[in-house]
Amino acid sequence: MLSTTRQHPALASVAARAASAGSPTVLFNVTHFGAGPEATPLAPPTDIAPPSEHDHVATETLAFHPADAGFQVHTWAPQTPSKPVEGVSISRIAVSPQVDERGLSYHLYRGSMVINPNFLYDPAHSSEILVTLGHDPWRPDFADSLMIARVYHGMTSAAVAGSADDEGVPVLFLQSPVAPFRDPSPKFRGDGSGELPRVASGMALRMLVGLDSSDPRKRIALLSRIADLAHEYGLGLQAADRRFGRVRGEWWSVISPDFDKYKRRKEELFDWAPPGVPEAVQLVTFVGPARVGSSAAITADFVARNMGILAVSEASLQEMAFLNVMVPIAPARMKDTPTAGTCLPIEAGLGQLARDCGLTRRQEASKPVPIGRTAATDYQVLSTGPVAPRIAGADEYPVWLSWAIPLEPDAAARPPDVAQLALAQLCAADDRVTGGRIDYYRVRVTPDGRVKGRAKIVVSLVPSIARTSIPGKLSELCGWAQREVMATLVRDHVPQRSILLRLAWRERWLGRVGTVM
Amino acid sequence: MVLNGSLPTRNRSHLAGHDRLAAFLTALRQTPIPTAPPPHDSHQEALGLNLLALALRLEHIDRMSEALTLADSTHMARSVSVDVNMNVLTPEQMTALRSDRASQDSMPAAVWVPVARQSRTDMAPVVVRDAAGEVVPRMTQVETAQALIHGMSKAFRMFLYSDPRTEIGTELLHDIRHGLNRSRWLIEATIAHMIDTGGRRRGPVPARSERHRKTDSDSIRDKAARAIVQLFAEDSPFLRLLDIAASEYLLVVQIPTGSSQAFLRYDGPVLPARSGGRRGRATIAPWAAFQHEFTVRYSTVIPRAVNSYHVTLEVPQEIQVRRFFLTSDVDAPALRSLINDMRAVAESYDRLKAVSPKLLELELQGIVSRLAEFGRRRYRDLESFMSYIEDIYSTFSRRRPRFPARATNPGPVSAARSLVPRQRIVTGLGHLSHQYETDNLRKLADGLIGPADLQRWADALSDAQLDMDIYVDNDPRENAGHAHWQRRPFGTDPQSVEPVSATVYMALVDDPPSLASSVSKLLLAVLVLVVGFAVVLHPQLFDDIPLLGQVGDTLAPDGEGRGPLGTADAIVTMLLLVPGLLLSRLDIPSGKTVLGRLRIFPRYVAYTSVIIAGALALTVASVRNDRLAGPFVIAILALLLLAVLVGIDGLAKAIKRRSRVPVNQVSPNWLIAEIRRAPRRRARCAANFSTIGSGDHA
Repeated sequence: MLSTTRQHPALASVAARAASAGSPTVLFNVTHFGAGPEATPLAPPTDIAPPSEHDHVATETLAFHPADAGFQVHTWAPQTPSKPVEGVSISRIAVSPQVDERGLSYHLYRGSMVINPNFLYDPAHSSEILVTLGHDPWRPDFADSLMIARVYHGMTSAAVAGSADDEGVPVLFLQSPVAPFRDPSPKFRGDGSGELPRVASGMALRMLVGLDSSDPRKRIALLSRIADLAHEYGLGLQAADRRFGRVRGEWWSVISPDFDKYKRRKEELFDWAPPGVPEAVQLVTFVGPARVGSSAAITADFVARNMGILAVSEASLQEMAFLNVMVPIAPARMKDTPTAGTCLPIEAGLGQLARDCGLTRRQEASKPVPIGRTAATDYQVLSTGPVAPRIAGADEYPVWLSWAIPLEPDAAARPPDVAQLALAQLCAADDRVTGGRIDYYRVRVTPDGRVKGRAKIVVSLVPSIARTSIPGKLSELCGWAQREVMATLVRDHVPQRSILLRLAWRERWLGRVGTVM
Repeated sequence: MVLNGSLPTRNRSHLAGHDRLAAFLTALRQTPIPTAPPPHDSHQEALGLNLLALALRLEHIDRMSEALTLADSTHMARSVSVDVNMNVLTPEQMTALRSDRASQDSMPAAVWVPVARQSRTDMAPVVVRDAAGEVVPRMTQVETAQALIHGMSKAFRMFLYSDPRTEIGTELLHDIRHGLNRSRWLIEATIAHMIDTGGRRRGPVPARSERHRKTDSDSIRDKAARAIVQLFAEDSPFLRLLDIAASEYLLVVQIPTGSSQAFLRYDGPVLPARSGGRRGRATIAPWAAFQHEFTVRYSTVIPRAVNSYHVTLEVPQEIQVRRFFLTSDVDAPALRSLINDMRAVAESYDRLKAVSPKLLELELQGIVSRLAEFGRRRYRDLESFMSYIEDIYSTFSRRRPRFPARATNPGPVSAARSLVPRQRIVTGLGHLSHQYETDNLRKLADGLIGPADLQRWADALSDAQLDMDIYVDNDPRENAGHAHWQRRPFGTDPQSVEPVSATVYMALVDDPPSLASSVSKLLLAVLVLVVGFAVVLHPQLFDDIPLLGQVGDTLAPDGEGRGPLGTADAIVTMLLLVPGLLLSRLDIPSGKTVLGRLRIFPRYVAYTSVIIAGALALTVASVRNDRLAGPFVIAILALLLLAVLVGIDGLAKAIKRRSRVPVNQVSPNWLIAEIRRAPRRRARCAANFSTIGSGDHA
């Protein structure tokens, strides 16, 4: 968060960008992908071109593909003062579904939103928190999804809870599942540079909050509240290491997880939850102007209506908030209907969602706070379902990728997506790698014409590799793949001197990169 | 009740948030209500907002050099050179800033770029030249103001249109957007009015009409005022932007886009020395007349993206630059955040410990690791300053200066002791950083550092001005100074978005061969002359003085009164002619120049000695020969007194030359504490110059 002394240059930049763009709105595409129970969908390839306008380049792109189902968000400012709305409309937010040419398992939503000059936060002044529910590969059951919703609500409301005159701190980014972190044992630590290979996806929530360095009381209060939450539910808590010179990806363990306590609390709270791993989910995106407290309001509704959350990715792109959640559908509410998409205002959208996904009957849900009085009052709900996720719980390892290359404006001459190249390269090492996917992808086209991105690629290794030799094998693999991707880019006429590329299985080896996570 | 009061014009630009809002509401009452919509021009809107955004951050300026010259003792001229990096401008910005708005090319041939901001109070014609010496076109202030008006009106509409209340039919903002057009136009007209007039006009308190119809101006103004209050909080960045646009001028020049770099040079407005008062223009304080050095303080702001800043000073050959250094507060955001962290952790120490000792440990480690970094930085600065002083000493003495930091034998300091602030804080922090690097401070939450220690550290750090770094003179010439400042980012922290304020200190002196040495020769000559005449005319005065007594006896007139000097005319001529001739040979400059200021004391001595000789000549011409003993004694004593004063002056100069650290307002406290044990009253500089006008919004 910016202190008040720094807000006015930020406002001038935002307003100047908006005034130069030719349109008072920012356009966006939201893609939900995932198919019904029978089909096995292909994840849409990550790219910076928005699906509805291939000749454009999205200023910000976010992709999150946790379980053969997921989300992609593209945002950009149009060059002409147009809005993709049918009929005469003066509303600030407009969104409509569109047939996706790429396939049946993709649901595309096009929308536009008036620029919001009130959200002047800078991810550079922020603090990261990792809350761990378990260290095992991600395989949540219904009760876990309810616990995740509860913890998510606890974390977002801890960010807004404060004194009366204080609006709280904004959640700039929040995601689950993510790679949980465990302090390395001496066997792996070596001279301090060693690390235990992390589980690619686990039941953990990673949150980035914008913090004003001039008021550390907010940070301390937030951390204390989240520590209380962790104590209450037996969760593990790590905070970004604040020591001088530490980079993103270096964690300081505050509380170790207490799995027994977590299990006890889960049984106490949600013994009524249906057993087993959810087989169908609803993909939901809440979209609206980024505001402090909007996600806390939405999650409060989830908790009150007994809706679970399997996976979540919340981010603010170009001052717009996108809250993507994967909501499990109760077995009792499963219908044999084809996958369909809807766009509704938030009140109707949440009601519809509760009807589709509530894990208890309506009478057993507590009455939520009317959403119309909260910060999320004007949000829109884009919902696709039912979709069958694939929750395998397999042993997979994360590989982090960061890159920066110059933007090629001509779509035909543009080199392939760097994350896709890296994935293909990693998968080409078939003596070690049995499969891979892009789990998380975030790209920003900077105003000076560079594409900066960061991605988490998940690979599964050949079972014959012994656990202790995994770090060595991964190091060899990453070094090799990095060189080969670089060579491919150079062959595609990207000047070598302008390529910055780093592929590493230890997140902190990427150092500090501008793009979040 | 509406706010009708007007604001005082002084210090308007240092307005607090509530004053900014009140200023806007006052201007709202003074602006005529438009009857038709104000013009909207998308090109001007984009131009104005981009100019403002670029001028606030000046991110396109890579390097900045300033050449300072003292026009006289109370005026400083400065020539500024900037390296503009055109690659920083994005294609959208290029399009918005194009100088030829009719051009259809995707890449304009030339763009308007702001290179500096100036307070509206310090205006002077500025000519900007490029690397070839050609004059670069400038945007007129009227054009700039027009663009800013359009831009700020656009920003206002952005705030209005993005507010969710504009979609609720019962809200005022909904009506302001859709129905109450005149109120909306009035707000836009007020923005234009404020930028045009500088928002400084005081006006009579307007009367209110007694009718309450919708078309009444009061009703329109009240609604506009209520909308503004609803839309903008007191500390809203919009009002701050408007304040800047209203109180400053942007220096906007046209730069061709053909090359990626541009070099520009312009002579900034001549700066008057400032007195203690905020806006007063100073003359040199009377006490400064007898100072042995002329001290100058020059404050300026380095834009945030500038990584390299040079400041040079050149003075006439006769003057020497004795001390020249630059301090900047580049680490101020880091120090502020550290101090805030310390106080916050001290306050919630027990709560953190109760929540989780490891959370407390994380906070403490974060604090101590940054303390250690401050120790490393300031210790390096201290070292460079000490070597600078040593270099200066080597020019006039074989003895090396003694510094407590070097003199004391640094024995090992325990980890616990290193965590306690000392008076010599940088040395203490040096020990702390050493302990930290040797892993002796791994368990801080076990009571090694408590809340009281944190509070003491926070107090000590802010008292010691530990955020100030030091860059010393590296120009080998005696009559010039040059300091080169480089940005040192604090760890992995992102580059601060705040500009850096830098202060240059210079002490100018008139070292030997100086006027003072010529004057002492003159004084000696007059003394010898007067003593010589006294010896000849009244040898009895010198009976007790060994050599002079004998000379007197030899030259004494015989009984008939015939001596070597027969008449008084010869004595009078000699007493008038010799000192006069010697005085005319001295180079005594005008009192307004720096040299004149430095030479005030020797000038007074020279004049006084000539006056004494003249007075004696008058006495000789008018008084009987046998009564001249008294005047001669008085003259000799007066001249001796002058000689003693000259001696004291010389001694004081020698002491001053050996001063290890200037004790004045520019030197950071930590530096003075490191070099001088006992704190002393801080002196003000003789002349203070500042580009940070009263309208600075850094």
